[in-house]
Amino acid sequence: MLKEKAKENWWTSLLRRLNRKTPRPAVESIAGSNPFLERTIEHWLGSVNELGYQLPFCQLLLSEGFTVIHNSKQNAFEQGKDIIAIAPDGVPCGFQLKGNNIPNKRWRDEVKGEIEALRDLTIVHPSINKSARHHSYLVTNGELEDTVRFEIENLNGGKWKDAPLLVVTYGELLERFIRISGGFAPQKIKDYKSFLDLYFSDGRELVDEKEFSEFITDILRLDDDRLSKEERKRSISAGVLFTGYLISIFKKQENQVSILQTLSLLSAHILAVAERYKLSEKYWLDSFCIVWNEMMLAGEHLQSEINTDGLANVANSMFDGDLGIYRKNLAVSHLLAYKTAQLIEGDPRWKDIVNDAFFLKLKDSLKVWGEAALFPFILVFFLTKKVAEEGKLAGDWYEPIYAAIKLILQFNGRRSETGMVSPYYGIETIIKRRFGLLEDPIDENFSGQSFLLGSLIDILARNGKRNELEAFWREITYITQASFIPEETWEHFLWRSDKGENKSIYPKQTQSWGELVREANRTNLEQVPTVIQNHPYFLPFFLLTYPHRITSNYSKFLADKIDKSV
Amino acid sequence: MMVDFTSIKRKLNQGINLFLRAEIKRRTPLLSMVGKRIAHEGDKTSYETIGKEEKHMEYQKAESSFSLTRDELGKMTFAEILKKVEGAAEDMARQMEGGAFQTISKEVEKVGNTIEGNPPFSPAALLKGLEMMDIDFDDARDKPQLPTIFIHPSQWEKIKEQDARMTEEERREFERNQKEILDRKYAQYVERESKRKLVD
Repeated sequence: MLKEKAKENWWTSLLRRLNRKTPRPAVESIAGSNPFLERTIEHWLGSVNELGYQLPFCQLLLSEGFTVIHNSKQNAFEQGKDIIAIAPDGVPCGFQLKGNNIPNKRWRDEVKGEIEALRDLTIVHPSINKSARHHSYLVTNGELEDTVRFEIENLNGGKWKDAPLLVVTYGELLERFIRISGGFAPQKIKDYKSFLDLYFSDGRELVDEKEFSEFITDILRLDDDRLSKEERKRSISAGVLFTGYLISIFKKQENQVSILQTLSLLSAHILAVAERYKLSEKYWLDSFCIVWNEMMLAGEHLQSEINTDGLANVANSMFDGDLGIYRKNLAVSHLLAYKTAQLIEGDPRWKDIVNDAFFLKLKDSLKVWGEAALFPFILVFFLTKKVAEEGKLAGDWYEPIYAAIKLILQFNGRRSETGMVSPYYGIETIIKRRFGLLEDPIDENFSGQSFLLGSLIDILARNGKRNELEAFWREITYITQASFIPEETWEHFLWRSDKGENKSIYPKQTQSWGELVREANRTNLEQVPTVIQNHPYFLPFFLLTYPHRITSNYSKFLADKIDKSV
Repeated sequence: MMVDFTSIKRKLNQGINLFLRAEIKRRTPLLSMVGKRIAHEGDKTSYETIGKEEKHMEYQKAESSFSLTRDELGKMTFAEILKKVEGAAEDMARQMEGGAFQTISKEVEKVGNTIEGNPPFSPAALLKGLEMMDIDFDDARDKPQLPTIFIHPSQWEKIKEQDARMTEEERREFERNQKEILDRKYAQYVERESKRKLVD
């Protein structure tokens, strides 16, 4: 067992007086576990703030049998409680999470007031009986100064005797994280290397999607069909935990885009497990929901950054004259996915960016670097149309769709030479190509094909825009509509699927409008994974992160959900 | 194991792959002219023709190899390796280009788009070929998108001889016939283009 050795002694006391960092309590290795993994978790836990370990802590609670019912760090609902959960014995619990050591001054100035709110205010939540007394936990990945510890002990023995404050500090937290991570650690040295590569990568960059997907596929044991459903649940927990460790590098840099991108990949792989093994929601939904909650928090932070002139202040190096526009593009694209997800979820805050000032910001940020960059145009259209239907926005909200079609006809049409790159190429590849930094040049011609055109045609047809489409039709007929259809629905969530069909379809030269409208309104649900049908709010992030999965059918399904959203 | 320069070797290997691809491209004029698409995932490819017929494309393997003796391993220079790679490129290009011609021939035979009797190349055969195919224009009569002809170098010499033997009268006749065909083709093109539209 791990054991804390953190009591004040002459050495720690001397260090403190010399104002040096107190050494972390040492931990003894859990027998049979991976010491490298333990050191990595130790490093992680010792270097994050409370936001950095909130997601893994929620997963830890789930894995220990708690039911997490609320998880936030900035909601007025908090009442001193970052996390509200129900313990396995049915007792409601409130958790206040703190980062780093809590010396006396911090305890007095910041923490004690919150702890009083945590203890004294009844948990108001529909899942919890108001009359039930809750347990209160102060959790920190640091240590309590002895004076703070003594004060809590005194209060627990006196004023707080009826409901004492329970304290979880670094040593216990580390032990619990290591114990829960150990069972589903990376199986092969190669995967452990991937974990370390990802963990020690630059938190200001995007995650390497291929490497992360391979890593998470292994942690989730996606291809191991011998696991029981309970083991699947544990592997999903491990996936969330390990991803929680990884995204701490982005959290330190407040890099919301990469948090959203990584969590989208994780969520997609959890859905792959659920869809492939037909798991009922009790095995995966709790974990999925805490990840989703984390994504919503990242979305909120991103929105706040953009609202406080984050786009205008993007430049931090002399190269941002060229590169800044790509960075803005990623930020705005993820914000649009976030707002569309809120719209589908029925969260009324979805429309708080849809105003003229925001569209001015958008105008300079939607750079088209490839076909994948056209998906945000579709999201802008969905959001503005929804607001316009409520009579709150003037102007032609079809403009993004017309613009996207014109770009495809111009760059991939019959007169184009090489064409706009397909959604199989990401933004980093395109930037590298622009500056001649690609080691492996793009040896493919995109002229005469498009992955997005079918979706755009359907949008116009669904909305009765015959005259506008008519003007484009001749040029449209020169372009094949490309798509990839994975063999099985769970394979939609793989970064690349070995099984499946690459399809190219020419539009009809003489096309019946009636037939086009009928087709545009017909969604083939057999081609939409059941888990997406049940949790459609994830779709905007999924298609933004996996633009090569965008098909006319997915766009129609998305439009259906948005049309029905209130 | 003796100390090694593995990352440099990896880079050299990357360079060799690029060289191989460039050499294959240089040796496959037909394939290099048509748009190249990469199947980034999956195990099947299908497409619909303009006539809305669904076709499944079979993947064809093109491969080549070269072997080195243990003795050669330690003695070969980079230039000699590239020579070997050139040989492999030649081999693979032949398989790929040959496969492409075979596929085209099969499809052309299937739809009956061959000149009856397979006559030797001549101005008349050329006009007959033009007559049999759809020709697109870049929206104007004077901008026909004429097909590319692939011929064996030995045939090319014969054509040049044939061309030199043509009289002025024969040449004028050929040009008049070609113009008539292109006029008809343009009219057909305009009619085809007028069908690219939405109807009720």
